[in-house]
Amino acid sequence: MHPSARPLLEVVSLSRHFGGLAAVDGVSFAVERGEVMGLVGPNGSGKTTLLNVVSGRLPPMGGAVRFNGRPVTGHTPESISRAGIAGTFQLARIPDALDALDNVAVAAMYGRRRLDVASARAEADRLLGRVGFAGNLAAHGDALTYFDHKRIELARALACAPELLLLDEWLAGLNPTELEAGIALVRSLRDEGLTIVMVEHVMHAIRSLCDHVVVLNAGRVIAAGTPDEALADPGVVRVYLGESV
Amino acid sequence: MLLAFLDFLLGSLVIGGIYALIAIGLNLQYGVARVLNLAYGEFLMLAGYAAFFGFLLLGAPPLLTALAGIPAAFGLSWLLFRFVLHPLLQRTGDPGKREVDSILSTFGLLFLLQGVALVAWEGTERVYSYLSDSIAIFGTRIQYNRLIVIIAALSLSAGVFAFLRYTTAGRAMRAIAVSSHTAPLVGIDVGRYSALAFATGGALAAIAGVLLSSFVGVSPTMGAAYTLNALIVIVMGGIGNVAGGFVAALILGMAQTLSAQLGQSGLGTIITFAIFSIVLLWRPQGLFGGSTRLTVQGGFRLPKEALAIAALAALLFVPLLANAYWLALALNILTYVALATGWAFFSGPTRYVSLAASAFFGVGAYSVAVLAADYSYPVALLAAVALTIVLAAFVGLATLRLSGMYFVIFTFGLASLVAAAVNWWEFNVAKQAGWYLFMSITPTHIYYQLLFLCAAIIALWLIRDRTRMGFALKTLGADETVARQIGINTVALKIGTFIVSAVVMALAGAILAPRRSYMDAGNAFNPEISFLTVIMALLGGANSAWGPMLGVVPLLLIQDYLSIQYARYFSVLLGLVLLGVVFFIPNGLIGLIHSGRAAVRTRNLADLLEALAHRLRGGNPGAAPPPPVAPPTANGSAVQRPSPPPPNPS
Repeated sequence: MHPSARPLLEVVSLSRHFGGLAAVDGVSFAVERGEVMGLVGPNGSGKTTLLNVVSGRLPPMGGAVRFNGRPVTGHTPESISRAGIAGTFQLARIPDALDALDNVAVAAMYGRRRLDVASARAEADRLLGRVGFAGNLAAHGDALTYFDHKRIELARALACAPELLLLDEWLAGLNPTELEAGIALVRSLRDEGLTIVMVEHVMHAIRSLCDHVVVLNAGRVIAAGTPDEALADPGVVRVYLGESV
Repeated sequence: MLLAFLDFLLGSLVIGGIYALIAIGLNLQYGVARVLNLAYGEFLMLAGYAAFFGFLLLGAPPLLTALAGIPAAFGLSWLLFRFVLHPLLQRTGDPGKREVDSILSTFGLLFLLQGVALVAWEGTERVYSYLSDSIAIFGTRIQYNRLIVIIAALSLSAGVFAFLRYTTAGRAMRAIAVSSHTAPLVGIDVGRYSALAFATGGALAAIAGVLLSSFVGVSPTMGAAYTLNALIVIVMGGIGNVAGGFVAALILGMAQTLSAQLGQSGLGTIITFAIFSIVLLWRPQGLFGGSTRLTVQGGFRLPKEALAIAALAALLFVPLLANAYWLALALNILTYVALATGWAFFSGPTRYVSLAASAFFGVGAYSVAVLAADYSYPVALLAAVALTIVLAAFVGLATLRLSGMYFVIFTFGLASLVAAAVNWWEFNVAKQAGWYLFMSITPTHIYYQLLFLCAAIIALWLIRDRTRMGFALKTLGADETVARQIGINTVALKIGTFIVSAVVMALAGAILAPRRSYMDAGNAFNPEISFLTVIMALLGGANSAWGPMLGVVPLLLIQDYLSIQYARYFSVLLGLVLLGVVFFIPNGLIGLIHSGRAAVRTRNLADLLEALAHRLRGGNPGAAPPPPVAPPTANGSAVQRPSPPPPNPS
């Protein structure tokens, strides 16, 4: 346990609606340092919106987000990134204008470290190796595989030197072999002391990685606890499988 | 007092009604068909001429012309969209590129149509008189032709509103406006309804033009001001919001009527922009809500530079060898190299299309004209730089936090705004219009100053490409969300780059100013400069430091030749050149060189020629067999990926 008493991330009755649709509706939870928290729930339950509000891409309409004890509610994405929260996108976004190496290097040049070009490239090389990228460093987006995109996204997020990593369905769409590699990679990041919040539908990954999970439905928290407790909750079973007869 | 107010109200309704009509039409073209049509006012101008000649030659009352003109304008707009704009927009799946293409091609169309009108009907204003008797209403009097405008504007606005709200076609258009990606999934033919919306917009412009011509003179250059006002109305009312646009049109009409009644018509432009700026800073989604879309994306490449540095060094000796004629040509070339490179320094990597080159060039030139007599030349240069920084920072703060469209609109009108402000200042403060310059600066001095400016901006660009800032700009140009996510302060980066770009263009104007002996607001802020700057940078290629200069020389030679041989057709031909560049060499000459090189490396020459031929035919990738070499993407690779679907809000 980290000596500091406060959790790394505190989300307090956070709300965000689109017109009349409450995508996130009074959600509260806390993430302790060094833990992996899973965010699960059916499609449209507000998981990605929640991550977007935490990372500053969407302004919240109520509630608060505290990171390291300091409020970051409604701050710009760039200032939240510099505060130490980095993430991946649900659909990988790797600009074609830069090659694989530079896509990661640019995050090390900005983010929290502000390295110069040469050291940023060296760091990017190291991080791409760390996430198991074995492709051509000079290749551009359209010449890379789906898993390569995912790896570049993760390396780019790590290049920001975050304390908290937000993974939005980072394991989705991988084949069984890739999935095992992906799970091992996330586990090794946790072992290095990184705090992780992951949105995921792959239950096997949730059970093997997460210390605790928060289950969302229609923008509200319907269950929370260890994966085994929360996923066995009757409310959660009902949401996923329908009413029992 | 009450009577004066009623007068004011009726006057506002007339102008506001016209603005409402054209804003609704433009809203349909932009919101549904996704074309930011900068040539919109030219349709209004053509309709005005039709009414004028119909009345003069055939004795046809304008209302009859309007009736005949509706199907004609509808049909022409439909053809324009179906066969010119739609194929162009279908060429790329990248929405940012599509946006830029639509802006540039309609900017070319603006000059083309204006040029045609100039050739056909000369530049003089034409006026006729129709139904100019007046009728008493509530104690004041209003002319019939203006009353017709009010009635037509109200009923047509209500008609379009009802059409969009209650008919199937209207519902389909609204669905496309909300999401053109998902509309086909529910069986909506996006191409068909986009064309319909674009054509309806054209018809509304024609009606407005006919109505307007009955009490305002028609001239070939009248269109741009109406386009600008309509764009501002759309932004104020909220994109896609017809009712909001109507209210915004009335507000704008009131502001302009008020300034006209105060006898200060230049004030109208200034007030319009003041309102526009306040809306952008305070409620960018429009006064009444609406949707804001558009992302701006782009790609880049860096060429070899050693050769060009040697060439720049050789240029140092030109004044020693050249006679007056060649020196004058060299000055002209260097001025445009500075302008085009300065323009592309910002607009290339960010893909924000600036149409304000002449505004900054004019600010620089005018500062020297006004200040050099009383103070020294260096003081005048410093003042020009300071003024430009303030102006560019203001434009940047108002628009660059938002999507690209606001920036385009603001810069489209910036030159006329600055000219109006200068006029106002000369009239009320300086009590002097027009300035004589007596300066002892030789052409050789000017040459070296310009050469230094060009070398400085190119060097700055090359240095930028190697530092963190270059990487940040590439990321920002490609995907702003990603850029912010990794900690790049994109707003500061954009505003800073825009200011540098503006200062370079202003310095070009300031340095060249001593060549002139007389300057006034009319000749200092020449819109042709903006136009030429954009075409040159695009022809050369706006994504690298060396690209823009490649476009300068051929275009200056063309311009030189045209302005002697075909002075009358100058605008028409330049418009065609811009359209040609946008259609056939989307990445500029430098891009053509790169794609050629890449293609030769990987494939044989026959494939390359076939690809070129295919591009020249303007083949539609959907209908025709796929080209062996697709248009080069940023990295010169031949595969094009579909753009990713929009992010899921869940």
